[in-house]
Amino acid sequence: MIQPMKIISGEELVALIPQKPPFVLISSLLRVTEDNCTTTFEIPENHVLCTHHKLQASGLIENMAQTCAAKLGYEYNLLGKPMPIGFIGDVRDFLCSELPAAGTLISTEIKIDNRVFDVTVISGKVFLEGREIASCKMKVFIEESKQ
Amino acid sequence: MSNEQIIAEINRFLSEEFEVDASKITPEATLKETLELDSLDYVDLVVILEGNFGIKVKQEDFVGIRTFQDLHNYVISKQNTTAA
Repeated sequence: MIQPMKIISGEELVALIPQKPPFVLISSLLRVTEDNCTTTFEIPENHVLCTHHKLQASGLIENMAQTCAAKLGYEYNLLGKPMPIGFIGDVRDFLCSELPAAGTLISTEIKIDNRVFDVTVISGKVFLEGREIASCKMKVFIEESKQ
Repeated sequence: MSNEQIIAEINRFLSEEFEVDASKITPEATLKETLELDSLDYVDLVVILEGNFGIKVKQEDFVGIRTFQDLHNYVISKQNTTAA
């Protein structure tokens, strides 16, 4: 089991993922295991993916993808390897029952379902105040850095 | 499981997953055209094979797999190797 010794946030977290502000959609890395990862995201009032003070579906999908990126970045960092780049290849079975408002805190869990060649298949769920508000399955292409 | 059972199971899984009439899955038919596979669908195909037949598929193995016959032979061969 891989477990962060402490909650990772701020610049330390941003250093683990390829995305940079204003397109960062995770605030804290809470938990990493071999096949799972949990993050939280406090949605800023003026985030670029908010419309009418609500984080849009695209933001929820990106939030799940960045949770996957944080897991990979954390693991690669532990191994002393440069951060990989991930590309969303496919999103399936996306369900969204509620768009979270700016200023709220969402919690996101991803599970690695499969690793096939350079593709990681994940299931993601987003929670708001304990309620599941979105979920999907996603294929993420992983490209290792040549640095 | 006999070879015939393995072939029947492969065809059943593929027919269901890719929503293709089972009658179109013949030994000489090509996977790509029959199942209308794109590169992402190949990932699903590998997930099906690994999840249901207990084999590990290598990327380079797929180079020579064009038809269902090729795929059947590959899975049977891998299963025999695993069982040995």
